[in-house]
Amino acid sequence: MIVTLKWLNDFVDLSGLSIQEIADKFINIGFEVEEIIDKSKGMERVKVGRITKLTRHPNADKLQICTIDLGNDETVQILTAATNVFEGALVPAALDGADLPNGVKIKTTNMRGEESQGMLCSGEELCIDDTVYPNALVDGIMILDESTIPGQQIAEFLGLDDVVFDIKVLANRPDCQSVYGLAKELSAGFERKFKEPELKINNTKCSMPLKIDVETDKCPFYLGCVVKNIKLAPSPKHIQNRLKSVGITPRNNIVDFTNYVLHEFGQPLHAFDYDKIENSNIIVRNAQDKEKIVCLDGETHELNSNIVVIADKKKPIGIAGIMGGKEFSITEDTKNVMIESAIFDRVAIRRGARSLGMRTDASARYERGVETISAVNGMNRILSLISEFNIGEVSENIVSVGKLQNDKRTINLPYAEIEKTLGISIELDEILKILNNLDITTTVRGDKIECIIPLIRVDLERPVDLIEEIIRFYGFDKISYRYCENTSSIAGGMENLLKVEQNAVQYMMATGAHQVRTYGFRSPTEFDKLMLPDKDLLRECVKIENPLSLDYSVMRTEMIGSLLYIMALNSSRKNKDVQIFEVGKIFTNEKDKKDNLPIENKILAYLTSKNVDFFEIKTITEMLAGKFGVTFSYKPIVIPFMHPNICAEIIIGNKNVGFVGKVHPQVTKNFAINHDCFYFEINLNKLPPKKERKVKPLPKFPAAERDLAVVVMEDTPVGNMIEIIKKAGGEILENVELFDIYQGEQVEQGCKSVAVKLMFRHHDRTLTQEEINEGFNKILSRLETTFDAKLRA
Amino acid sequence: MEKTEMILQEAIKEISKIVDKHELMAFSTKYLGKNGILSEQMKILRELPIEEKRSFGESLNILRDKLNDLVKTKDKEIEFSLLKEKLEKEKVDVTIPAKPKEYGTMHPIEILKKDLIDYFIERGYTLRDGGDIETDYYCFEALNVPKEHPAREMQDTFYIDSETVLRTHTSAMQVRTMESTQPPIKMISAGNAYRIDEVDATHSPVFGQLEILVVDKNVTMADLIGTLEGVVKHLLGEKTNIRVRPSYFPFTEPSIEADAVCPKCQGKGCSMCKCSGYIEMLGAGMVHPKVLEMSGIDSTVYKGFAAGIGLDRLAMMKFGVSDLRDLYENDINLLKQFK
Repeated sequence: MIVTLKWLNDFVDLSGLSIQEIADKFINIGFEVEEIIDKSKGMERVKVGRITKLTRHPNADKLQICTIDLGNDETVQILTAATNVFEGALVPAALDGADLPNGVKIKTTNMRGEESQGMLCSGEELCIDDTVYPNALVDGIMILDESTIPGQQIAEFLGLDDVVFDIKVLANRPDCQSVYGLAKELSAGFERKFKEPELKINNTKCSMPLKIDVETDKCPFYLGCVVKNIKLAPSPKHIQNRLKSVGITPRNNIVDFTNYVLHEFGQPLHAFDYDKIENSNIIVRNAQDKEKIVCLDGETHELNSNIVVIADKKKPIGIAGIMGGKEFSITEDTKNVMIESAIFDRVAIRRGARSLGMRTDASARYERGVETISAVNGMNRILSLISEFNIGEVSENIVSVGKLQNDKRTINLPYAEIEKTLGISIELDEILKILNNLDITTTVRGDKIECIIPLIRVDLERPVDLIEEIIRFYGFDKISYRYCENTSSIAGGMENLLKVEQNAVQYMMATGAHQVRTYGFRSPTEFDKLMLPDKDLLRECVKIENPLSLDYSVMRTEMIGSLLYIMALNSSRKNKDVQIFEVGKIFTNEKDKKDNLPIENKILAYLTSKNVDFFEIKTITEMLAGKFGVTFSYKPIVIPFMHPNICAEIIIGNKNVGFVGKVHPQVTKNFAINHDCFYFEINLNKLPPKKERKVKPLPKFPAAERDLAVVVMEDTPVGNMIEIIKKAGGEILENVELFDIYQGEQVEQGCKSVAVKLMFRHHDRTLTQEEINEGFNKILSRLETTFDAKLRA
Repeated sequence: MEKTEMILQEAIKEISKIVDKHELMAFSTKYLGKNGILSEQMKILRELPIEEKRSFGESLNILRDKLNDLVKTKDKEIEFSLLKEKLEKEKVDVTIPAKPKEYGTMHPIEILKKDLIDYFIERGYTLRDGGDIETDYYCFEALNVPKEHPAREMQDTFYIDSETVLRTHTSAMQVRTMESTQPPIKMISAGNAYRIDEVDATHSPVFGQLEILVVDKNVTMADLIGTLEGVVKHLLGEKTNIRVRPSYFPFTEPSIEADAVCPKCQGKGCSMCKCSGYIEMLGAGMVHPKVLEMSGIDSTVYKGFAAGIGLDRLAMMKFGVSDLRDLYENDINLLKQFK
């Protein structure tokens, strides 16, 4: 919301306050100031002067000597090289000490023997263009019209003697989408009297026929009034200046007044050419599907039944609350106008504006909510302006449809609740003063304050809303801090999964990997890059209804794509030996039973471009298993984006919790990565909770070690052999350690020798030689029967 | 001088010249061997008359012990000098650079997140986890943002379907927590939030957020501001002050925003605070009674406060990152700087 200092001053006297003080007040009462522009900056020492005498410089052909009358018997001599000046012309004269808007500093100088006490300015030097003053950008000095007098400040003449504030108004304060509303806040903030504008309407005896039919429930209140014999002309200069200051281009008095009132009171108004309305009968109705209208923007808009239109018997004449129709707009031929001041349903306007892709000043206000009282105020305000400037004859009847909501809300505020919420006690007198400054009528009844709320304050519904008003104006800086000393103590801590996640991050850092952070969005095209078959489960993803772009249109079902994408960037920058990891979420299309939401899983994913082998990566997953307090087993698995022969699924019990291996070289290529990558991922949601730590007593009896070497077929999985050994060894087999796999001389072709160290121990006695032999033989015989193993000689 | 003493003196003299194990072996044989000097003396002992036997026998015993000691000591000496020789050969140039092996790093936004989590866990808060995909109810309705509420415009939302959204704030965890836990509640939740924002130097459609929620009998605005001051000081330094100003969130009332007085320029305006003198830190407020009621908490007995801290821009400010995209690009040369 853009407001100007002068405009605010119409409603509250802000004299004696600096710009900064006003800005600080806005901030302290909850209105962020996004920008402040002092429009007269740099023009403080620029005045209007009249050239009374013009002579040639005796020593310089191109210079002329101007004698300038600055009014009040003040005269200066200024030299100029411009050729468009003449005796009697009114010009902007920058005087000694001026610091012009374009950065030029003016000093009295001597030019070839003649003194110049300043500089005559062009529009460019004052940083203004034709929108501020006609022909401002003429080549040479700006020649001013005769509506000014020598000595006037140029900023004042140009209507630039004002300060513009751009204020952020939050969604709960539709009433502050107006100069009126913001001025009211400042009035309470500075405790200065609020000046209600005087509204004087000169009704004439004229009465023009006007019939209004509202045929939709989306228009709860509609006012129409006819103004006869309008005198269309540019609006008064100060109104034009204010509109320009807030970014609205002046058109003509009628249109400018509607915009002026919109800005001042927050009430959207519209003026229609009365004589073009069929039978003087306005119909407010829902649009028909595919109905068309050409609007003020010159475009043809196709409507739908969610949109409300203002129409006559024949056709729509405007889109309600959004934009008027071109055919019914005010032109030079317009004689009589119908002014509309209405209330339209917030949601209907929002949907309508969205479906049309149009957002106007009017629609923006309706979307936030406008109260019926505002329609009355707005109508009165424009009619008073029309009367004041004698633009036309105001019809004596204002046609009104719908009910004016003027039941004021009452809120009973328990006094004690204020301290209970804020943590400080505030004197009752102070509280009443603050509320009264906001036009809230108060009566103290026992331990409660009865508050009657002004109609425009729709945001005030409950006692706590009033408590906010009190502290807003009392000042948050008056609250002395407390630190929850009076709250109960609770254990605190974190959920198991979060602990697992923190542990995983710490461990991954110790391996030298760098944590990355990626978006959970995916482009569906990435499924192809990952070579996922058509019906692959990972293609079953959660889709976003309104994505930013195709690249961000679905939620990821795998982590590897995110990391490959980061790897590709690093690879393109020639970053070598990259090791990255992330604990990220993947999203499945499967829904959980409780909330019917897609199931999310936290995945620890790791990717490296280091020149490593599978087992170096498996070492990491094994160490993680230790850290998580679980045992992983590994089985070969084929995954579309992984190397078909270097990839293992990671299993706990019989549950798949992840996989580890080499990324399929075609996939790395698809991601424009030009080297091999190894990858693993572990689904943290699938890890069992870590067991409580309990110490196991250290062994008291000696262990016995035996080496066992067997020959098996070369494709026998060693991991499976070790599992069988563990099973066969039973309780007394404490550990199995693989120490050699050998192929070559002394071993039959197509076979390999596998050697392990077996450690036997009993926890409460020393094992006998017989027991150890028995254990050893059991293991051997199981290997023989399961894998056709032969004891190596 | 007695005979034994003479032998001992001779032996000491002789052993002092020995430098290797070989010579020591010879020495040992010469004195202590089967036919060595000590054995010779034992033979003499046997010949002696009984009255001399006793004292000479004792002297010989002492001599044997002393000779054994001499050999043992010398043996150790030789072992040690051998070790010294070996160590000398093992000399390395310790100035040769080591093979590179580095610790990994945490992502800057995660560093900040963990720092805040640790801060609040130490103060007795419970960390809770929530889903990125949330129901419209928990993200909006239960937070006093009914459908078509203008506040929905404040947070442009990604929809999965009409009842499912990517959560626009971690505040979605407030009601979930209050529904499942009776007060007293001290909860934090950290995670991702999503809003429709094109990616640029200061915007990202995904951002990290930390939610704080306290519900108890004696919780006031003063406790909220004190808590916020504490966390701001923790993040920006003990001397940092905060400024509190009114704001609006549908789920808190009164609502506030807390800014830190810029620690670099003390409010005068500098590059760190973009000349404003303040750094926007977080939004907060007293939990709206409607929200407490919708979560099944008696708002006449309990009050609560809630706050949300955006992590991305805080990380940018704290680590001097000028473009948010740098934090999501994940160039390891940038990540490596966060050791």
